Amino acid sequence: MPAEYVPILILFGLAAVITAVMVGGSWLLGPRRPTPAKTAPYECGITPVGSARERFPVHFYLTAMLFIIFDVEIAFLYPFFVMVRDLPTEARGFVIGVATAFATLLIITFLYELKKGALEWEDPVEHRRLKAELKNQ
Amino acid sequence: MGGYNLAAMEWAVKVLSWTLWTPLIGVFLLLLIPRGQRVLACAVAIAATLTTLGLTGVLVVNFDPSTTGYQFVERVPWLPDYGIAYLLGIDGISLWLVVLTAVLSVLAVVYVTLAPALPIGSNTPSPEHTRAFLCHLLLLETALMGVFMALDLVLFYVFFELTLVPTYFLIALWGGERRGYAALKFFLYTFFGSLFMLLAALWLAFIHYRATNEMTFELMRLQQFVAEGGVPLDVQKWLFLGFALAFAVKLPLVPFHTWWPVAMGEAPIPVVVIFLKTGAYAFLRFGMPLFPEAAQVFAPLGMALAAVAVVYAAITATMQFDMKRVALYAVVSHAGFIMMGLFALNQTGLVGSVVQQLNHGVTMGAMFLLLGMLHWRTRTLEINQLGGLKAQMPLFSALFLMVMLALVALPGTNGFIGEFLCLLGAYQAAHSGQVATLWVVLGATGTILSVVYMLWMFQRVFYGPTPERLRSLPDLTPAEAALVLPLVALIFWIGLRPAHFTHSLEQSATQWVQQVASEPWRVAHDNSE
Amino acid sequence: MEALNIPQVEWSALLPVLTVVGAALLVLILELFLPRGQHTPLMLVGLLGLGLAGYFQLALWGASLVTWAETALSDNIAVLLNLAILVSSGLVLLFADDYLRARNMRYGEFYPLLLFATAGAMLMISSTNLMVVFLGLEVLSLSLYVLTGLARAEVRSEEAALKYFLLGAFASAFFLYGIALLYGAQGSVDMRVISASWVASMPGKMTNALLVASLALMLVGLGFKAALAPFHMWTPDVYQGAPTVATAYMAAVSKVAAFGVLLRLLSAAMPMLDLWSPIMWAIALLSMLVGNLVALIQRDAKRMLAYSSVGHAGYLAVGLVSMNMTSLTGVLFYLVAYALMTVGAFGVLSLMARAGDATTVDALRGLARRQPFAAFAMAILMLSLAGIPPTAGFWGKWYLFLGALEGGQTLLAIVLALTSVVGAAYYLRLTFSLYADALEAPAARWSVPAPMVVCLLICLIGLIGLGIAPRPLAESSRQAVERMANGEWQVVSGE
Repeated sequence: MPAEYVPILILFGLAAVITAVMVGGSWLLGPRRPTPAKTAPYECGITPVGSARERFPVHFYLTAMLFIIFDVEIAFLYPFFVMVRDLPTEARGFVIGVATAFATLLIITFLYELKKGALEWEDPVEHRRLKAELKNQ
Repeated sequence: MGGYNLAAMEWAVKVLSWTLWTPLIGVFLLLLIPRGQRVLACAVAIAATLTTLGLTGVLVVNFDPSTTGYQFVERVPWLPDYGIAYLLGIDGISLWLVVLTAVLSVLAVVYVTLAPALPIGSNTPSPEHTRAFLCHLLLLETALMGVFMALDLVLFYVFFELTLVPTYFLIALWGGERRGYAALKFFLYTFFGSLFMLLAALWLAFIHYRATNEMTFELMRLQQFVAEGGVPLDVQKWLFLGFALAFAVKLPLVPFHTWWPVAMGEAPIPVVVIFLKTGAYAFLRFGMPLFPEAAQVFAPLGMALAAVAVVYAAITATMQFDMKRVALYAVVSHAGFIMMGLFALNQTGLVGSVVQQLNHGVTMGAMFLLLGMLHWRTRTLEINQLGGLKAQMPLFSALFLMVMLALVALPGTNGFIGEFLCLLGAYQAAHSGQVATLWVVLGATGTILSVVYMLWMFQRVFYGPTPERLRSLPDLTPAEAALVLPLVALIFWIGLRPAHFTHSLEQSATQWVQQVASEPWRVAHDNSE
Repeated sequence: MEALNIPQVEWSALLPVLTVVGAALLVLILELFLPRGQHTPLMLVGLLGLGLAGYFQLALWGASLVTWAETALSDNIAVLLNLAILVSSGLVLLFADDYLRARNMRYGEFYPLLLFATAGAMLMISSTNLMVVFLGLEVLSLSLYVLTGLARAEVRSEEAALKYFLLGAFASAFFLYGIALLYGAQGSVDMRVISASWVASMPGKMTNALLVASLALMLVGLGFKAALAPFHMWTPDVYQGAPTVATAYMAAVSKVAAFGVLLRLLSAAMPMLDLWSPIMWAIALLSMLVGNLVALIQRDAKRMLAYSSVGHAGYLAVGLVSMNMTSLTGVLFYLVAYALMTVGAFGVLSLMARAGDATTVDALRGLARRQPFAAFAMAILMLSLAGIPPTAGFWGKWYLFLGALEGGQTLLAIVLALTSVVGAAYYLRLTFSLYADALEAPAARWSVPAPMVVCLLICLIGLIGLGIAPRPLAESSRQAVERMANGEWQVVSGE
């Protein structure tokens, strides 16, 4: 059995060798005359401003995670229903049942997110505070 | 083996259980009493212990001294898969220990009742905590009773460990200055020992299981199994050591005794009073009969240890500055005598050793009660802070003198009977060449040393100039004197009429010797008589 | 296209887990519509769900079902351990509210997370299919990571959550890799194939090596969850940093779940006994020594109990190494008793929330004056943890001792005895500090909340009841083990 994997191993080796030759070759042979402009990170020609390690609002992460859920949902449900047509009748009920259970869980999740205010861009607490402040003024 | 007294069983099927659990019922009743009701709590506790005493009276009356074997046997399966049973029974040896436990418990509870209100840290429960104190005390009584009644190794272990729990709390809550340390040391030492006993018991049961395909922890069956050669001597030796470790720690036998003066030195007086010699009893009930051959192998070693214990503890007692600690080392020294009698492995030695165990309860119980009452008055038991008490407290001094004379084994007191028989048994063993005479001679000097430490202490405490602050000490009240009198009466009763007590022992002792001593031994023993 | 096999389904086998999941979802939604901080209904719904699940679980006693295309099963082991999990979860649910309120952490997420974790733990035990086990493990773990970090205003809690998450993810990866290798070797992820494929495989062949590696990796993963040394490093930090109610939960439930899986896995790998036995032997020895000795020098009660849980894991591992009827019965008995003991002990510690949540042994001084009942309960729990009769802890140890002697593991039995003495030392030190100033003038009493009283009473009655009458649980455990050994399965499937 291990013999079947030998070509893959060779492929790995080839990839490593080619990369090493290309990168190493240019590093060895190429002339280097660095100037400040050349060593700067490439940002569409604009002079870089500040550090690259900037802190993002936590909303971005939250939204990204929520997106994954629905992304996966589509990835699952689409093939599900494409296949349902080809299934024998007695199997259809089962598959639809499974898909429904899956979707129900997602709907509950979605309701939860909605109600918790995870989809509102504004921080609901902060938002309310600001509104109250405005009213007071 | 076996030979249960069927008549007694039919007559009173559950007497032992009632005796065993009555104190626990007392605990539950105590819990119903509102906190702080000191008088009521004491009354309930006294009632519970007196009922227990009454039940032991029933045992004594119905005990048939003419048969061997266990009486009043009760057996209820507990974990039948593993042959564990709730198996109780007593013979002539345990009968008196059970009775003594009941007597001392009554006295300990009455002692608590009589205790004056003293500030915290004076080893006496304050009115508010009397109830809790008595609960622990009654639980301890049940546990001790269980140790003397159990005939199933696991049940025995359970009770053996159960004695630790109330004792731990009694020391930790109501002990002296170093109570935390003392309680922990006490617990760990004894727990350490008894875990090895548990391992040995399990190992034995497992060997039995492999041989017979049946699991049992019943003492009689395992005993028979070993007697029939079921366990090779090599293994027997290890098993005996496992049991012996637990019992030697509990006894306390030098060199495993270091917890004793620490723990009991800090412990409240009632605990010291009822903390009976479970270790010695366990040796004679479990250690030796289960592994007779190993016991014979280790007899010379045991005798040597016991003799060294007698002398070493006596010398240490001489050096103590505190009356309680003198008495505690005296206990260790007397434990040595008990072991000498046991390791003689003959009838004389055994009877002496059992009598000595009873003496320990009676004499030491009285001694510690008296010390406690003295402590109520003087708030110290340090010898050089005391003096001239004889003039101040004549009644106290008279009682103390009598107890002390019993402790130094004056003829006519119980101590004489016990020590004499122990030493005689040891001499017989030495005569038949089983143990070195040297150790017996060494042990015998212990009787002289006990006179030294006791009389010297007596002289310093009761004669000489009275310190200023002890000028107007009240003597014992009639109630306090009455508390000690039963024990003093017992001292002379056992001393003058030992047969009343040894009578019921004889059958059991004979049987014990038959089990423990193999043929050459018994022959030697018979010749020597 | 290939014919799709529709599995025939025996619903009853999964009903307990499904009930818990349902309760969790219900609680999740319910929380949205309740006013902020009103958590009593959540608790009640949760308890109702757990009770119902317990009822369904009890009804499965005696059945040996394998269903859902052999991915779910129900046997007596599953019933017993799932009931232990359900009871522990119920107890934590009971007393959590008071703690969360006192710590000002009224996050409604606590309740659904706890229930999801419970469902995960139950799933782990109710399958021999390693993918399902892994699924349960992840559901349990992910919920626990969040529960650990629930006190999000506190650095210690955050640190604990991060540590637990990173190391836990690592351990999960090990476990998953083990499963992958098993699949590579045998083309199945059911642990029951290990035995047959090991017997069939030749030494020196690829399958053989893959199986060994797979078992080793899975042991690492489960050893982490069970807090066995040397995979225990996370335990003290996480136990200490997590909110005490979460600690109570994870200490009891993840131990039961992890050991349930270990028990199944190692009995499935019986033919490989010669290989894994020395490893488990070393792990058991190390856990007992490290856990108990390090616990001795701890100043914080939560850390102390954390190390002691490593020690207890070691005791349980002794039962697994011995691998006989008695020792496995002991493992089951011990797990049930241990769940009750830990939940109770951490429950008492959670009462310290109102004193700034300080849980050092010094901070506990004089608790007996403030809360006599809680202190009394703690004393009994400590005695049970130390294995003193007449408590359930004693019988657990008793079985493990006997099992170890039967299995010829005399050295482990002796170490078990010695480390028990060490254990008694720190348990009693804690007890003593509760009662240290008990006789001084009475301090201001703190009332013990009613749910806590109920919870502690259940623990005490359970532990002392099992100590006096161990027979029902002992015999059920033995039956469970015997049935597993005899392999009596009633497979309900489509074919």
